[in-house]
Amino acid sequence: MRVGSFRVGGPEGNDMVRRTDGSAVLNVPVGRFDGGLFVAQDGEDQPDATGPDGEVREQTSVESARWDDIAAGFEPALTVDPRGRHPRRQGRAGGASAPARVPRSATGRPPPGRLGAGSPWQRGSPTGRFRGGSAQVRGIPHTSGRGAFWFVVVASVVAVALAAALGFVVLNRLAGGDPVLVEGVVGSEKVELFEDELVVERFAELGYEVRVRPRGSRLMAEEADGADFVSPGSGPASEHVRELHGISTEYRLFSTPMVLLSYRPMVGALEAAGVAEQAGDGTWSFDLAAYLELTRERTRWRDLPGDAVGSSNRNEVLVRTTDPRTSNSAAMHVAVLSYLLNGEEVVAPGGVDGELTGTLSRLFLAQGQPPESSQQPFEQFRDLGPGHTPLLWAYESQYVDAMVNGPELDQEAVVLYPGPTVYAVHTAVPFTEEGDAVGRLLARDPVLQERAAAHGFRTEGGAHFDDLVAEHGLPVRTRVADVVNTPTYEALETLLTGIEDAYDSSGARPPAPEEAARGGGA
Amino acid sequence: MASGSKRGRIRGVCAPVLAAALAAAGCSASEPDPDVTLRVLAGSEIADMEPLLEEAAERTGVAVELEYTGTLDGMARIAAGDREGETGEYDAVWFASNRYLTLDEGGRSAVHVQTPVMVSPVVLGVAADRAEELGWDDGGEVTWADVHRAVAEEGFTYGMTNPGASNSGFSALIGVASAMADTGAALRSEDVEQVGPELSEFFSGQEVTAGSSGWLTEAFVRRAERGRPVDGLVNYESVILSLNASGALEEPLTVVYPADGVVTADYPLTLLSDPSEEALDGYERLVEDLTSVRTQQQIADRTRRRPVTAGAEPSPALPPLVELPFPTSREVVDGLVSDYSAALRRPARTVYVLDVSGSMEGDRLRELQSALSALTGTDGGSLTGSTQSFQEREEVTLLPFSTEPADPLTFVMEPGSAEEAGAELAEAVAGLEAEGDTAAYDALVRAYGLLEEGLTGPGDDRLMSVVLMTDGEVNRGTGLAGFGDSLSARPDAVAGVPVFTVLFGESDVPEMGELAELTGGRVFDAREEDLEQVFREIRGYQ
Repeated sequence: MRVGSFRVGGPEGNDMVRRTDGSAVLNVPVGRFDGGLFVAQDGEDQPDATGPDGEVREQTSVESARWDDIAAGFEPALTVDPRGRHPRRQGRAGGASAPARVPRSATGRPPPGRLGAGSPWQRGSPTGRFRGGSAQVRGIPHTSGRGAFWFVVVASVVAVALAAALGFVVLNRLAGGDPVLVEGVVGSEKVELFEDELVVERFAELGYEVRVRPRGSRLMAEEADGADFVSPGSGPASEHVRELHGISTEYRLFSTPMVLLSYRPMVGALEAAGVAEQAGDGTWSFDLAAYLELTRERTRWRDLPGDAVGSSNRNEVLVRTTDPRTSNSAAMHVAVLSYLLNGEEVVAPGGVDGELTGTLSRLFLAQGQPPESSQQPFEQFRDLGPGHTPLLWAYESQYVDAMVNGPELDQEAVVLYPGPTVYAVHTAVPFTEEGDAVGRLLARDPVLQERAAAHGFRTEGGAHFDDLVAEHGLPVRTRVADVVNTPTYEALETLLTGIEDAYDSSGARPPAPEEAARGGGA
Repeated sequence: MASGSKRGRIRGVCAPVLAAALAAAGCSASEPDPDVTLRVLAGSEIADMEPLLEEAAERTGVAVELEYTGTLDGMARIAAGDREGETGEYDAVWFASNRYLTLDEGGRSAVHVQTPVMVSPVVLGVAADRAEELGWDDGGEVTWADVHRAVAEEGFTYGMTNPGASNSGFSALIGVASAMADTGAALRSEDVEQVGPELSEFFSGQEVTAGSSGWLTEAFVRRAERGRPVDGLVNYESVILSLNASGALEEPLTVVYPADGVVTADYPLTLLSDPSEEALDGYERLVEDLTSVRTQQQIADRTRRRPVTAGAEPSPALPPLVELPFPTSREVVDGLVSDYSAALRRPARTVYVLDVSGSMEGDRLRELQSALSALTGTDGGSLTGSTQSFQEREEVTLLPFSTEPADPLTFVMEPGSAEEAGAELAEAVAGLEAEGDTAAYDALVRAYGLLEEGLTGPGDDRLMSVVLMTDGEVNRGTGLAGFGDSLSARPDAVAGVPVFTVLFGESDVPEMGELAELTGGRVFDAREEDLEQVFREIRGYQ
């Protein structure tokens, strides 16, 4: 059955698709191609490329166009049903968005204004250049000519017709176009970045499909079997991965400082208590040493000065964190608190004593059952309000991401910069050649760096982040001054193990009644 | 590209899709069929979501097959790695809260991903007149300590589910204990020991118990209708608001939000570890639909739970809440629930009216014997199992009957010698023999007589119930009407005792329903289910 043929024109210097190994139609939304995608492999892309080694090579590339534009060009227009199975919806929960509900294109010719609107041709070549422009889509079969290429739908017409009529995916062989599958083990805070459609698209352009699975930072090194790379969220965790696997390479991808999130009434009370202070630029500081003083006295929210907090919250003023036994974010909390509790010195491996771990452990155990991931308490902060989570330890990137990409935090939410804070430095440690390539791209590819910045991370140079913050008028500090170094892996691990032991022994009923008498009250 | 590199899965995925396209050629593909079915082990609280889930299935193509169980029971199973459902392995669980599940490593590692779908705190609903008397109706601050004071000084009574069986009672217990300990931090074992006396007094006000939040509400309404009202109802905010909206009560309950804090249920839809690609895909589609503003608004409007997605608003607007910290350790939680059962709650007093007529001979009698004996043991250490066993301070009477009631045997689980009493009970059960006719109502009349005779005085506040297990039609002695008449001569405390009827063998189903209705009890069906499981479930109501 022959449905018809079509030609896709590219007047702005796109060359012809020649020696193609195949073409394909995807009827489901792919990135910005929300009405489906037509792709064709170009076996001979012009001009030839000059590699980093100076050698000139013939290029191949993949050309793409909006499938709904092509379908609309037929007379009568082909029906596009983009609700079919989505080939990419296989990641972790909360990943790729649902297929957009693009209405079926109307029968008959689309209004002329639609033709040529937008930018039907996208082009991705291995060197990552974008070219092409406002090409025309025509419904009339056309002969080949310079600056244009065409497809006569003959042999594959049955498949295309089926795709059009039934709304299913048909894909011919894309010889040489298969992406290289690269698997990474990453901190859960970065999963969203890796599932970002534009990141997926960019990796696809670069010839990779990157699949990640989230792991807590403490077990990342041990649970990286079969991975091509590991991407921890802190210096100590990265150090451990490298040591355990005997790898010296490490790409520094981006970073984000640890912050506190609270609500205006709480911040007001903390300000009156001398813990929070607003800087001239409107941003907030949080004095961690003064906070530790409050916790030493088991201060409750209702004990804080002023009546803004209300007298009802009888819970202790405690920073809500993730689980220090598994999570990177909580380990960063340990890093700053241990610095303060150690006389303002980064804890050395031999410098961990029972008093230090005892004080730290209480600050975690008293919070109650820890959340399962860094996302969970953030969502609770966002959705359940100040009564549920008055004060949260979080990545600055979580805050920026929410404010930029939504769902936004309440207007009453306030971000505070703890003094001192630490930077969560995100790295990639490659285990294989492919992992190395992906790590290098994450660190250096301008598009990927820009995407990381769009998710609230601070990238090399910081310009992306500064622009983003300015654009959205966020009360964040582009330069964070009071920063301490994280302890070494060995020192941090000693602290975390001590805290873990405290969790393990926390349930035991006290042996003697005298012990019990020490219990409540305080 | 490096040789030997892993290839993408595009081809692998598309080939079967193409095959599906060809297979479907000629069919209309206008509505996506429910092409994924998720098997979900759920708490009974989720039952009111069924209509919404059916609508979601039409939109998403993801059907949900719910199998219900008690919250702690279900979580203990999942944590132990048991996922076997009636039609295959569970893909997901959906309880009011995962807190108990994630207290230990087994439970944590059983979870692939969880998404809170809606929120409802466990609060206190109070009859309007009582709220006014107690000064709780003006929006002023009321704490759990104030409720405690009302119990101790004003005779305040309330209904609450059994913490070993139902999440609302479990949450309330944790909340009340944390509030009483008033440390501002998560409850520790030493705190539990310290607040024991206060808790015991607080729970002396618990006049109605139940194995589920839904039945508790029904019992509360029935007591009000029958002129024996209970002052308060500890339950989910959503249940109390729904009850108020239903018009089942003459006056809506005043909702009291304890100012010292609450424990909130967040109903996480939880995909279990190692999901199939299909289950993962179905889960994602379903979660996306359930957390959409449109569905969230429907959840808020229909179930009166609070939505979790910005843009959907609870109707009417609800006050903000302070959340009490949840204990860090499973030992603390287990210890508290065990204390509740064995020492803090009002002790139970139960008459088991057991059919040993001729038709029970053989397997049926053996099943009954083993089911009852199981309640005297300390079931393998699971929290639910241990709270289902006969507890210290509890009084259990066995009243076997056939042509006429036999001599009753009463066992009191005195602290210190409860094990011996349990062993004697098991021995008595083992000695039962079957013969004769089925004079069930004569036996019931006798059971209520025993309850009346055993009252220790006006201060006897034990929670009384009768369990009737019979395998056939009543063919001898008094009928249902005669039994009903006999109740009017009983003192109020005895006349209001519920009968929990157990369908077994050839039970007269309509009549057992009438009997349960008459006494404010409930029918349990052991015709398909294991009798021991049914007896265990009833324990939640005693």
